[in-house]
Amino acid sequence: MNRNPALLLAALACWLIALPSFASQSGLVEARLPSGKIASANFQAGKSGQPAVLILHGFLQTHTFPTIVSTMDALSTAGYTVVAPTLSLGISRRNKSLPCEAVHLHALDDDVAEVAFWVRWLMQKGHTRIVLVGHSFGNLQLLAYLGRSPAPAVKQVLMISLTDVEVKQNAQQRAGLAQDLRDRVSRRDHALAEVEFGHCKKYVSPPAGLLSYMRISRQTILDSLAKSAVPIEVIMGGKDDRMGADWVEKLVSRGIAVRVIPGASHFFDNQYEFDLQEAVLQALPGR
Amino acid sequence: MLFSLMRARLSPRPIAHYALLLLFVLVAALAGLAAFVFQDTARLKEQVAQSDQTLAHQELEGVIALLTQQAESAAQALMQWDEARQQLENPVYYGYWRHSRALTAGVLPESLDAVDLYDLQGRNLAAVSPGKAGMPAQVVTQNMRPFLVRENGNNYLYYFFPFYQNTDQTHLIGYVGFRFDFMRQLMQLRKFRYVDMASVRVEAREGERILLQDVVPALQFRTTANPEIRALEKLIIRSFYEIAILIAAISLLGYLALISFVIKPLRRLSGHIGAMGRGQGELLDESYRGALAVTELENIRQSLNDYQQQLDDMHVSLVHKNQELWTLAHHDPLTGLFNRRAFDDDWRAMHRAHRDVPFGVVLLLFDCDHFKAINDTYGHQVGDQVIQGLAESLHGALRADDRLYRLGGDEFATILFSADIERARQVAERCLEHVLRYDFSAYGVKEPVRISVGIAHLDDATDDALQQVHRQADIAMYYAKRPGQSKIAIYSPEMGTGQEALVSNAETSAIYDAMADPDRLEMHYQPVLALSTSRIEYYEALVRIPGEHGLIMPASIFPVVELRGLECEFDLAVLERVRRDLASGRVPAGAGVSLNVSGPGIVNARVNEKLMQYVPLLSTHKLVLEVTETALITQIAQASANLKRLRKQGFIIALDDFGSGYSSLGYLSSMPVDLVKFDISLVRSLEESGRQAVFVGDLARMIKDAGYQLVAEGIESEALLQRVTALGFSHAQGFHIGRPAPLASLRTVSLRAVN
Repeated sequence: MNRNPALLLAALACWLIALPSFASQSGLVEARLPSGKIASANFQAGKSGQPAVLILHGFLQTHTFPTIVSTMDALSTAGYTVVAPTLSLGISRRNKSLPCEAVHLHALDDDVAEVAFWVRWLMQKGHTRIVLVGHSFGNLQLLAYLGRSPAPAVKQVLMISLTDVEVKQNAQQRAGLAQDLRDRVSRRDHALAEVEFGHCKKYVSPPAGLLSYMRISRQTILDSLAKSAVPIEVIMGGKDDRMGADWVEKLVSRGIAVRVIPGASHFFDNQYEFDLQEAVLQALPGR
Repeated sequence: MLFSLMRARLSPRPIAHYALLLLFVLVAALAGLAAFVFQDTARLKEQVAQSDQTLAHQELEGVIALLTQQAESAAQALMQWDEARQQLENPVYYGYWRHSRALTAGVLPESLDAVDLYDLQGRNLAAVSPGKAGMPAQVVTQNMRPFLVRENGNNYLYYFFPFYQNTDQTHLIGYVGFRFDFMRQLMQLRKFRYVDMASVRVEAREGERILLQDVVPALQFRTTANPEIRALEKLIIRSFYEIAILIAAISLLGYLALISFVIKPLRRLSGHIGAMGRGQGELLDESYRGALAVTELENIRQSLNDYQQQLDDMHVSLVHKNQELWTLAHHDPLTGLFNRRAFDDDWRAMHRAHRDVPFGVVLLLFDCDHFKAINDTYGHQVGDQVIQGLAESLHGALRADDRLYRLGGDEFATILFSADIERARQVAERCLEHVLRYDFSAYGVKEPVRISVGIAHLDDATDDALQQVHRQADIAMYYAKRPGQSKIAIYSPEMGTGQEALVSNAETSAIYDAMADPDRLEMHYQPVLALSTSRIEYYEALVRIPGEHGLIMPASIFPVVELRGLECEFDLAVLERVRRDLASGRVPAGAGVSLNVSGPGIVNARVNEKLMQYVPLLSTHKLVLEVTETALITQIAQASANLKRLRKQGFIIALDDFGSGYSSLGYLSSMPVDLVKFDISLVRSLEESGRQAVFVGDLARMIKDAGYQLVAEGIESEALLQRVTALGFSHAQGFHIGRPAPLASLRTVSLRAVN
């Protein structure tokens, strides 16, 4: 899974040229990825002149996740062109969240490549101003994308419920796991690792794939936020129990604008769905 | 033959047989119904079984279809499952997925026994991935029909479907195969209604594949016992038994009711009617309920009882009538004594009672002397009273057990059983004494009433002997009545020689013939000597009838004549015969003839007319009419008138047999009599030296002094002739003077007599 990002980008560009038919006005769109997999996304065309928004779902989820759908509806209603892709995670036409126990053949680079794919897809549609909106772990994939020559059209990043990867496992545990994975990789042990990862009690993946995600740490997150050339704004729920109590403070200490919606959970469910929508719309440019 | 058979079959049967037949028919019908119900139930069960079999097949087919549907749904779910597509796209970790995810992720049904994915060439992904292959390693993509195969004793059902990546199934990326444990699926998929799952067997060899479409026919199974039909069968049978028991109970009750309410009463009625037929009927009692249960039978019972009551009443009435009739038939209404019928019945009863045991019997016949004269003199009313008096006196003379019969007129009889002659004689004498002591003068009868008794005895009585002993007693009784005889006569064979002519048919016929033809009479003439002139003055004409055994004498003739009331006819015949003798001139001129005329004859017009025919002869012959005093006292007025007329014509009237009857001088003085013929018993008494001779002599002198001429009968000796001559008799008659002789020898006799 150790692939050259430049090569991946070039391949992605070729596939974009080869898939003109994938473009459509709205609804479910599919696109064949450079890997040969077919990825899908929910696309809603907005008013011209307004920035396009790419909304990325959380870890192992799809674009049908409620928080994504709610946010997308709000943005689409507000006239934004919105695309909410479902990361393939190595599975063509994946349309359901992938359980932790499933075989995870995907790696962080694959995710970043697909993000880049959909950004270019928007750009190909003529959008020059693109706002990336992530939810939960999707924000980490967006950060990875931002750290690797993001498209110039990306003007703003809005992170909802930005995840701290060291909540369930501390740094030491993660370091131990990462080391174990590196050892497996180094000895070419491709047997599936079944480990606790993030909120998964049993995460099944080849060592290399999992190791790609293990490179993300709290520190890399904070550093990436701090070093991002694209302005980043974070929206957090006041009662998001998946984060540490000081997570918002840590973000703020790094100079990240954090909008906290009191009472909201990690998923902004119930009545906080509208607060989230309002916060997202307030945070977006052009309004 | 057939007719007789039908008649035999249709002959009357007791109603109990019909009731039993009805019960039998009912039971047979019940049995038939039971057979029909059981047969119908069996047919229904068979139909239901067939239906169940069909439904079981349908049920199995349905389950297999459901299983197929489930497999198809699983295939669809699998194609929608990202992880499955992931395996077809990148089967590196297919073993993990197949082992840890395929059947546990909740996408596929838990009933699935195994699942495997195949690449486009039909190769099992497991072939290229470590792991145990539970499914075929290779499928023929051109023929993916599901099939059932027997493996290691288990029956597995395999389904294979093409695996498309997209929902419109245009992008084939591989194949999927499912394996179901067939039997387990059958049991899990649904609850069978008709198939007995425990009995389901697949008729297949190990490793043999059976296409899905042929699975159901290859199954061996039993149908589940249909609870509804079983319940229905139980219900039908139970209902049938309940109905059968109900019908049986009703039939039994009906039979008992029929017996109680109809048959028994009918039997009683029938028995009662039969008893009535045998004359043993009684009133039918009503039952304890007060009446028979069946109205018609009760009506019959009441009617029968009414009829029975009427019959009983009628019977009682008939008994009374019979008794009354018997009494009337066996009793004499005048005297209350038993009559002739009772006499005959008693005789036969006595004979029946002693059929085999010889017994002695004595018959006593009583007859009133001169009753006819009493009856004619004093009238019938007095005659009846005399009869009653005789009955009373005779009854008083007999023992209480002896029955007295009135055989007719003045004739009475009694039968003495186990009695000898001497005792019979004593009884007879006692009867005579009782009669003598009886005061008949209370009825105005001045003359003494006497009876004569004839006694006959039999040592060994038989039924026929009644006629014999009766005849003998009759003969004895007439014998007793004869003048000069004792009033009691015991039959002896000697007296039978003359008397029995009385009842001799041949002699009776001769008498009748003589009456029809007077020439058959043979008149004998006995001379009567005039004592004053010692000349034969006239001859008494005495009748004889020639018979088979000689002449029939008057002693035999007159009882028959008197018994049959032929006096007048006989008088006419005799008068005609004598007239012819006189007319023929064979009677010497100057010689008189004495004619005997009976009592009835002297008052009979024809007899008198016949006598008047003698008037021309009076000029040449002396004609004497002899009538008995008994004859005279019968209708004495008419007799006296007739005799006076005849006397006026020139006839000499002689009173015959004076002294044998009443010998009433009162009568004598009032009658137109010229001669008085003393009875032979009186005349013979003159030969004896006793009071009677004196009395007879005095009587003769007294009558002579009264102006009558006297004739002495029975003069059989010279001494007696002298004696009567000395007593003043004017005439004498007897064997000493001359025996009766035919007309031909009359002259000779006369001459001799004269000489």
